[in-house]
Amino acid sequence: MRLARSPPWRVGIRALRANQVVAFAQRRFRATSPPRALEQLREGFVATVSHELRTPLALIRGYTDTILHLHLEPGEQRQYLERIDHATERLTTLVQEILDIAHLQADPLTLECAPASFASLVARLRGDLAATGNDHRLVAKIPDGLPLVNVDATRIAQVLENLVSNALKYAQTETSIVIGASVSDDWLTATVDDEGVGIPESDRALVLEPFHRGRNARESSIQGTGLGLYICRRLVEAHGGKLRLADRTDGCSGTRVSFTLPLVVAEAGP
Amino acid sequence: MNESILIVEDEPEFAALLERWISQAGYRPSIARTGHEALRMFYEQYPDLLVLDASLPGLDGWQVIERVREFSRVPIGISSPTWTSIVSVCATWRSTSHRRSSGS
Repeated sequence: MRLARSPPWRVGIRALRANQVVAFAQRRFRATSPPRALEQLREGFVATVSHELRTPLALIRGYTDTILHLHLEPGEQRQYLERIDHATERLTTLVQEILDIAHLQADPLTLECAPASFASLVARLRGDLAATGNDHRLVAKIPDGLPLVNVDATRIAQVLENLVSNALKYAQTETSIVIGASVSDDWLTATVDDEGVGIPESDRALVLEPFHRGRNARESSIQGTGLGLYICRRLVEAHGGKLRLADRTDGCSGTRVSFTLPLVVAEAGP
Repeated sequence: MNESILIVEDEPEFAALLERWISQAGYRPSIARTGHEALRMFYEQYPDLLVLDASLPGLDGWQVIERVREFSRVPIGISSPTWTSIVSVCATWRSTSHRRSSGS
C-alpha cells in the first residue's frame, strides 16, 4: 500500500469547511468588530466547528447507518436512537448559540424592555427545569417585595437559564444551585452559586470571551462550546448591567456568577 | 483464525461504533485511544490491519504511521472525519484481502 503523507480528499474537506465558516464569520461580524476580534472569532469558529459541529454530525450518521444496515437487537437499536437524540441535542445547542451570537452582533441590539419581577423570572425557570427533573436542585433565596426590573424578560430568562444549566452541568449531581438577589441604588444584583469545578481566577476574564473555556473545563469530559457565558455577558451589558465571576462568598467550592439589572426608575412627579 | 484489526480512535463513541461494524463483518477488533497506546498494542498484537484517526492527542496518526513503517508493511487505513469514509476504508481493505486470499 502506497502511503500519501496528506491524502488530497482529507485536505479538501478541511479547506472547504474552514472557508465556509470564515465566510460566515465575515458576513456576520465585518460591520461591527475590529480586525483582531474578527481574527479571534475566525479562529474560534474553525476550532469549534472541527470538533463541536462535526463530531455530533458524524455520530448521527454513524448511528443511523448502523441501525439501517446492521442486524441489531431491539435494546441495542434503542441505545443507538438515544445516542442520536443526544448528538442532536448537542448540535441544536451549538446552532442556537451561533444564531444568538449573530443576533448579538446586530448594531444596535434590539431589546424590548418592560417592568418585570425577578422572582417571577426565577419561577418560570423552575417550571422549565421541572421538565428535566432538575427543579428540586434550584434554591431561590429572593427577598419578598423586590422592586421591579426594567428588562427584556425573554433575554434575561435566557441568561438565567444559561447560567443555571451551566451550573447543573459542572456541579456534582444532587448539589444545589442557589439564586439570590439584592438591591442597591438603581440596580438589582442577581447571583447564581453552584458547587461545581469552579473557574480558575486566571481564566475568569477569558471565559467571558467567545469560544474560551476554563482550563479545568477543557480537560474534563464535559462538553461545551465556550459561547454560553459570552452570550450572557453581552445580554447583560446590552441592558447596561455587568456580569462578573467570583468565588462563592460562603467558603464553599464552586462559582458565583453575579449580574446587575436596571430597576424601573419612578418617573418624576409634576 | 479471523484477521485482527487495530483501531486507533480517541472519540469513544466512534471507537465503539467501529468495533461493532468490524466484529459484525467477522474480524477481531481492538481499540487504542492514543498514539502511544496504538504503538504498544501494535507491538503486542501485530494486527492484520491498522485503522487510525490522523488527529490524535499526543503522538498523532502520521507519527504512528512513520514508526510502524520502520519495521512493518501492515496495511493502514486513515479514518476520515466523516463516518462514511471510515466504513469505505474498511470495505476496500476487506475486498483486497479477499482477492489476496483467493490468490488473485
